Amino acid sequence: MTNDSVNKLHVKYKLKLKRIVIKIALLTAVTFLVFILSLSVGSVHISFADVLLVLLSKLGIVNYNPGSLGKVVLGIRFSRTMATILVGSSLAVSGVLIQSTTRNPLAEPYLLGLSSGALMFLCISLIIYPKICMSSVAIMLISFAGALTALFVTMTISELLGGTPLSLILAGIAVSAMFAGVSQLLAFIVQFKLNIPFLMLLLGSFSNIVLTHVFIVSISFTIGFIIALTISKRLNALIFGDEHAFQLGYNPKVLRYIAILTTSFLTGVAVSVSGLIGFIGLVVPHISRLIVGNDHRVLIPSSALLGGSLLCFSDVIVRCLSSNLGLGELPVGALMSIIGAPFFIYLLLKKMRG
Amino acid sequence: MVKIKILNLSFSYDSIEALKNVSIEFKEGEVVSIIGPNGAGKTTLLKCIAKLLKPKKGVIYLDGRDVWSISNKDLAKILTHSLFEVPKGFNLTVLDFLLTSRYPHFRGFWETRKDLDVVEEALTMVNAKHLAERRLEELSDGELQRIVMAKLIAHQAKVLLVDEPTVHLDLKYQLEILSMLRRISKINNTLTIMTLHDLRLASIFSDKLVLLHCGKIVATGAPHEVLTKENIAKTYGVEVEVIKHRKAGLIIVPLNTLP
Repeated sequence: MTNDSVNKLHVKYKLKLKRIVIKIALLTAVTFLVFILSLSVGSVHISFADVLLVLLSKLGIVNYNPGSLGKVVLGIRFSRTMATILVGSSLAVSGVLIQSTTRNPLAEPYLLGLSSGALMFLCISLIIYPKICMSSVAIMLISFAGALTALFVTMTISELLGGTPLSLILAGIAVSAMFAGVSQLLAFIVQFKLNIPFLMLLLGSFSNIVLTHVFIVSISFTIGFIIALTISKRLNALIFGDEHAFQLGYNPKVLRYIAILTTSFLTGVAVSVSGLIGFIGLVVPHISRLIVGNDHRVLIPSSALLGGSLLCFSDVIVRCLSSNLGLGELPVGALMSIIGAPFFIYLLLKKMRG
Repeated sequence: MVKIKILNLSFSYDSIEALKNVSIEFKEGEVVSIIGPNGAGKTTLLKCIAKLLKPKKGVIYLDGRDVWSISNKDLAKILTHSLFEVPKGFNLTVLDFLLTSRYPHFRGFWETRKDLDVVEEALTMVNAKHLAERRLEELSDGELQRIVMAKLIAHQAKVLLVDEPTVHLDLKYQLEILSMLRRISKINNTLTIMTLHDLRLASIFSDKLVLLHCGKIVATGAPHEVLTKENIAKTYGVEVEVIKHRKAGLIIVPLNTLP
């Protein structure tokens, strides 16, 4: 190849894409490793080899019986592992969507109040009609509506405050605090009067996961992810402003509505499964941007992978800590806040200093 | 053959009338500057043509069709403008920005080789190939304006609408950007409409001027027809001397503000 053709833009671009594909493949491998790790680690240790053999026998490739204890443990752990991955991915993709449509690098579903909105709606509906927890569709719709309502309130207040990036965050914190407060009061009623384990949801936890949860969140993630990927090209345009997107033939208003609905759906359903887990939607998109750049066509899949593996790994750590300390379940949401909040402060500092 | 015909255009922001009964025609190959004092409605007129603002009254015809009857997708292939924002904190690069300008031209998920070649050619035309991987936030005003020019080229539209291409630029970059814009328009035979503050630069680089005042067209035509002592006094409220220079076009010397 001559020097000249190396400098050609299309050659460079192809090379860049190739590198990104490799990075996404690596992220996929990492996610798989974390998945295996999560199945193996816990109060009962199961070796990596056993986990792999069980997975292979499930797929019908080999014949292997791990014994009844192993089967039970893996069954429970499988639900929990899948839930952490899917919730992490959902929250990360939500983060990308909300950051790009608001053009605000500080935006995040938890900080904007979506999570506590979803939780509050869940509490209220459980108190009004406790049997609702039997219906997955109802749970999905209610938490979706809660997240959407909270986002709407936040954005309205932010507009009244002048619609700046910081006013959005301030409005979000206020709305979030209010809805979280209501949720906290109601959660006690739900837990002690109705005997539904709910308090852990305030802190964000996967201790009560069952297979139905996995089913719910895998549906919402699949739908949300496909929509996000479909509008990824448009998001590339929208980030440069409504007027820029418009001249490329897109309708920025419609695009924003789609993104907001998708974010609320992804976040709402994730919250109904795991409770309040913050900062994943903030930290993961930023790290993904560092790894693959700003093109949403690759940013969205890599954020999903990174979010899934990060939350799953955090949950592994939490489980190890819990069983070693003998304190019962520690909430993974707390760990995420410990990791995420300093990152938020760092972004805030960067923003305030211009 | 691209032609824009504006008939009796009126626009108002809530209660403030920004454009009143504007009628004018432009055709391809022309470089037009819209001039006028602050708040005259220059950018509003540009936005109306770009279909970003819906006029209260009147019609804008693009090749005989009302722009509001043209779908956004079709319009995207014909018309481009320079309005955009760079959100802070995302580390968006020049290439992130320029590649979007190809979106009206391909329906698939990924750019083809041709799209990248067009972007590369555009960058070469504005001497900015070395800026391709740079972050937009760290570019100087002059560099950023060059990237905007590259974007207008890469979009391959027939109508270019440019808002204040020389704002924040020093003398050298002002000349560079405007001669670039004129060259692009002449090579591709586009219709270029820009808003400008500097009357002297407008007189050098435009084929046609439109002088706006309080939302009305006061004068239109070749620079020397529009930039007269009387017109400037009437619109800007400034007493000036207009000197014709052999090389530099019209030199407008402000003398006094008029009461």
